[in-house]
Parts: sequence; C-alpha cells; structure tokens
Amino acid sequence: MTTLKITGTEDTPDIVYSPEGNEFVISGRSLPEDVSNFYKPVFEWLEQLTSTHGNSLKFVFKLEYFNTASSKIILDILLKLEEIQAEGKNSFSIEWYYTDGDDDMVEAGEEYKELVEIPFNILAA
Amino acid sequence: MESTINIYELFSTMIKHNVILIYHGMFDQEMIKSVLIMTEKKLEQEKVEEALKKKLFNVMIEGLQNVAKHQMVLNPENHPFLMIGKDRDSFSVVTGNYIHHDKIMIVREKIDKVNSLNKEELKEYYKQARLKSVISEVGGAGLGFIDMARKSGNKLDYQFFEMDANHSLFILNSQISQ
Repeated sequence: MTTLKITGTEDTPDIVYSPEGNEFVISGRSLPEDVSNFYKPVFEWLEQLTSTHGNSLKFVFKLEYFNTASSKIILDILLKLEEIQAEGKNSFSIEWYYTDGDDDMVEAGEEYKELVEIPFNILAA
Repeated sequence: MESTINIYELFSTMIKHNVILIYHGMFDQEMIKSVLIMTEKKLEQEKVEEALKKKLFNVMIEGLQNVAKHQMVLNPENHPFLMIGKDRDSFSVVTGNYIHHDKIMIVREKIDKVNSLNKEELKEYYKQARLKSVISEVGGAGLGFIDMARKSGNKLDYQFFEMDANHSLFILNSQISQ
C-alpha cells in the first residue's frame, strides 16, 4: 500500500496512511464544498487494496464535524472496506473516536457500526 | 444607511430580538467558513457548552451549504440572508433564499415529512435515506433537512413569501436547544 497524505484545513480533514503503521487516520472537520472531488484520492487509494492481500489495516476516524455529504462518503468508504474484506484476502478494523459529551458523534458511530460487518470500536478520545 | 439615529434604532431592534448576527449576500464556502469562525468567537465569549455548540455548528453547516447550493438572485437588492439568534440557552438559525415556484412543493413535502417523524423515526429515516443517497451535481446528499431536524431536536419552521409571478422567498428557521 502506498502512502496517502492529505493535509487538513478549516473545512477538510487530515487524512494519513503511512505503510509502516498500517493505520489509516482521518481527523478534523469534513465539510468540503465538493465532497466527491475531495475524497477521490481516498477511493483511488482504496482501489489498491482490491488487488493486494495479507493487509491488516486499522481505520481510525477522529472527526470533529462532518456534513451530510461527508456522512454519505464515510458510509461508502466503510461499505467498500466491507466488500474488500469479504473477498477474504485482507482484514480491517475500525476505531471511531468521540470527545466527551458528544452524544451525536457516538450515535453516528453506532449507526455505521450497525451497517458494516467489520470489527468496530467506539472510543472516547 | 441613513442617519446615526436610525442605526441606533436598528441595533436596538437587533438586541431586542436577540439577533447576534445578520448576513445579507451571496453564500459560498469562504463565507460559510467566516461565519463559523465568527460564531465560534461569540460562543467562546458566552461560554456556551460544547455539546450545544456542536449541535449549532452542525445545523449551521447544513443550512448554509444548502443555501449556497440552491441560491438564486432576483435582483441586486434581493440576496439570500442568514440570521442567528440567541435566547438564553437556545439558538435559532434562520436562512432566507429565493426559489422558483415550481420547487415549493418538493421543499414543502420534504420538510413536512421530516416534521411528521419522532426522534427514533428520524433516525431510521436518515439511515434509509443515506443508503439510497447519491451525491448530486451540486455536491449534496439530500439529507440536510433530516440532519437539521435530528441535530436541533426541534421541528423545522418554514415559510414562503411570494415575491413575484415566479419566485418566492423561502425562510427556514431551526431552533437548537440543549
């Protein structure tokens, strides 16, 4: 898997994958004007996973805010991971972080957890 | 604007109606970021609780991006607008934008549907709608009203005011409480 690095801004998240850590981390705020365009590199990166095997990756979500369009994109990312994992060549886990008192973020995590068959932990940041 | 007396009256009217911010002009991503920063400063000064702040921000983001994606200008005096009000421990986010009459029915149906659901039903409706959602050409997921109702915890209040033969002003008011 190749390195992925998108530096966060006020309205877009920081996205990092470094091959050494086997960890994909998305953090910050996700409210881009054009979500499809912003997340295109992430889906291209995910495509690589379909043609490799033996990867055991952790996907970490540490988001402060995300808009509804990003919420749809996050679902698409998770469903893509589920699809790749179902092929049996790679295994994934998800860590979904929330800050203390942010019940909406916990609920958002629970809603994704119900939808995907990937080990999913909701954790206090 | 006219004399300073009128400005004072205008300011007093704002205060009397608990309005903390008014914007009249085109909405775009840069404007939205600026409004969020200004609101954040105000919330820090008022020591607003983090949970309420997050709910307010979420509703603002959806409401403002909605206007940015669907705004139209009738003439130079009629741009969309935003008003934010604060009343003790609740906030209101009011947006106004012009829409073509043939869009009224669809907006009304969407909001009425959202307003007819309770908390649990909204959660389920959001879940189903997100699964079916496709990101539109303007970058929306079609989930904005549902999310605003969920995060605000209140019904969405709206009105249409007829402006001319083809257009109306669509006013949307979300109350966000603890």
